[in-house]
Amino acid sequence: MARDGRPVRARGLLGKFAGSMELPREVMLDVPRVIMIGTLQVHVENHKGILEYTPSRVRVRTPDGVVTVSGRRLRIGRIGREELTVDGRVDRVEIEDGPAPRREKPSP
Amino acid sequence: MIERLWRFLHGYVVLKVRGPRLERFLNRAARAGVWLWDVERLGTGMLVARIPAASFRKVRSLSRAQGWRIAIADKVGLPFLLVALARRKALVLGALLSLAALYVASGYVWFVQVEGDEELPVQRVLDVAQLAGLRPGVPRNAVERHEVQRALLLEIDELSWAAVRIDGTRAVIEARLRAGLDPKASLPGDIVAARDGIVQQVMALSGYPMVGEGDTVRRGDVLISGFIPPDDPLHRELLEAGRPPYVRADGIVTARVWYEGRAFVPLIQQVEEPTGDRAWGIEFEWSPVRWRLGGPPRSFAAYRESSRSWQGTVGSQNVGVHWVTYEKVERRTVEISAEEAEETARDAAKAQLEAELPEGAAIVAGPYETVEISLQLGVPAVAVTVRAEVIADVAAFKEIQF
Repeated sequence: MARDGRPVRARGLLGKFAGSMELPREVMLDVPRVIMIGTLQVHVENHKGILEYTPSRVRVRTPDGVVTVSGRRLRIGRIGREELTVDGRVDRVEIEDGPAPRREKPSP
Repeated sequence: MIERLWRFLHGYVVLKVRGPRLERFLNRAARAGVWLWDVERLGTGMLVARIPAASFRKVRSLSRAQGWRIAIADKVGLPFLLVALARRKALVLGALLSLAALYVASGYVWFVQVEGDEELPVQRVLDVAQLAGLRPGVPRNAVERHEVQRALLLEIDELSWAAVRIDGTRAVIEARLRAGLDPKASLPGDIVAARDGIVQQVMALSGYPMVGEGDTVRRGDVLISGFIPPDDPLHRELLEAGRPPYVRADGIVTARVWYEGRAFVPLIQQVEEPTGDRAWGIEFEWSPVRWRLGGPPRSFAAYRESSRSWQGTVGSQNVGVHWVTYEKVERRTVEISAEEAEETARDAAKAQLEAELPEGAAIVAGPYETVEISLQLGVPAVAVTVRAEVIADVAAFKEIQF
């Protein structure tokens, strides 16, 4: 079973179907879409909430794991139900593949 | 840009949020459908975020339930501006009135300018334009530009072209003078004799010659006529074109003419000799009245006066101050010899003749002198007349008066 509850096999099939039909996979598969604009901005679609936010690190929960943005003078450019943007000087973006914690960490 | 404008139009608030686990606050708000932007962490337990003004109640209710303290740091946008303005009715009214005044005033012509040649009769152009309806203070859409242009061209003969354009509240009349010939130079007329004389040569460039070589003419006689006689085909052509059968006569008519210079010198003359006595006076002028302070004393039987003046105008009145000097003179009579008088008179008569002669005229006979002694106002005087006969152009144009 995958984290979103869908069997791995089903995701594989859906992925193939979406690929052959040229459909957006993030919609079909319920995975995050992460866009970087240079080192200035990181845009995350289909997020599940912020786990941690400090000026040097932002951790965002997604269906596929935790996206961690590290950098300097980070701030949340905008945040809505499904998408968020992190602005500032981005040094590193990581995706931790593993079960995402349900609860937000307390801020340091 | 569009998003910023949208936010401004709808209004937004800048929130300060304090409390534990502020990430959770952001997630809750986002999940509740609230957009947050420019979120900045100011410290461990505090962040600043901007949210639409309409979402404030929603955010307040969810933060109350979770124990976050929120405070409004700023309110930005049109709705807040309108509320602030609504409290200052006089300011809004004033602004609206000045806008309205500006709008109304921009519908009128406030300045009329004339552009074009330097020699343009600017005042006349403005006067004609005013009569045609273009003057400061008229509504812009009431200005009939073509009417004004037509009036300018009809009323002012010197203009060859005129245009009116309206730039905002400024009307500009552009005009050009006719280049080259004076329009009067095309009016029909005759060539007449400028002096008495005997015609020597007639060269008619246009018109009909009325005199021939050897004819004696008097001043004012027609030498070349501008009238085209009925037997000339041009006569009919002109009539058919709706014009009178006249042309502008032109040509050269040379004639032998006499010029003379004449001078009198009395044999008994009165001379004035200054005695050295002087007096002063000051005159104040406020037209047409003059007041005088000081003046020549009674002892001055004869005097010469000279003055220095300052003059100006106040409204339509002339005003002035005149500083007058009176110089006492003694008059006595002196007798001069006939030869001396004749010499003086001859010089004066010659000088007069030379001044009379047209430039470049060739003297063909003379100068002849006549010397006579006559009584001028009861005083014997020597009169000298100097005459010369020259060949000169006597043609003078005279416009035909219909």
